[in-house]
Amino acid sequence: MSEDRRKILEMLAEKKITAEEADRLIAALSSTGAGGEIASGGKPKYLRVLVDTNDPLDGPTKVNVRVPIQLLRAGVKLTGLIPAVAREHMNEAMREQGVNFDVNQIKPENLDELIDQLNDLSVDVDQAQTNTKVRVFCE
Amino acid sequence: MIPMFAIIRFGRTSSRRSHIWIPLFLIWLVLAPVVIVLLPIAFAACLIVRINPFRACAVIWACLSATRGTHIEVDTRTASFLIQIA
Repeated sequence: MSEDRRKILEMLAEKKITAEEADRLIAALSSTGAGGEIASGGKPKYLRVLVDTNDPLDGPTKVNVRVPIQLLRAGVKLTGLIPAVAREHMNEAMREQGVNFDVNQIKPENLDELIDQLNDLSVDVDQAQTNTKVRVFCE
Repeated sequence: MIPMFAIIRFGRTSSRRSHIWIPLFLIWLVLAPVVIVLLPIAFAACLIVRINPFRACAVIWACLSATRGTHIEVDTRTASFLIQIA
């Protein structure tokens, strides 16, 4: 459940809005996709990273990155092409670095679960001292 | 579907908006004969390292197709850069 939808339902529960108003708000939320983001229940298509900073030395910097989620899926499929010997070497190297992770466990079906959970992903960083705003979300 | 166009913009400032359109489909057309020639070698290499060559082709195609929609834009005071794959 998205944060906006939860707020609407909470307002309805607290009787701050009527059922008709809640219905209209949820319908509007679904049609607009919550301000440019994905509609609730839909699968995200892109991972967005927005950075807006205004450093006193370097001046203003804007970064706008949109990466297709499909690229993640393709990347995971690509790991399936890594020869077994190389995978073992990778696992061993990661274990030496203190990362107990098995590359063999990366499977497309696991990624699907992760992508489903990305619906609610939203990272907002707002640092007033350096005028930096970072936003990571899926749409 | 594999990407057909790429738009690239780079310059010292964002005020000069000179985009370069790269027709990727022409590049694919040029590369197609090369790929066909190299395909037996790639197949042999896949078999040597015990990878299913057909699966390898499918994955490479999927990776290529997945790049469609990528948009990377960086604007600073002194430089501007954009790459968009469509």
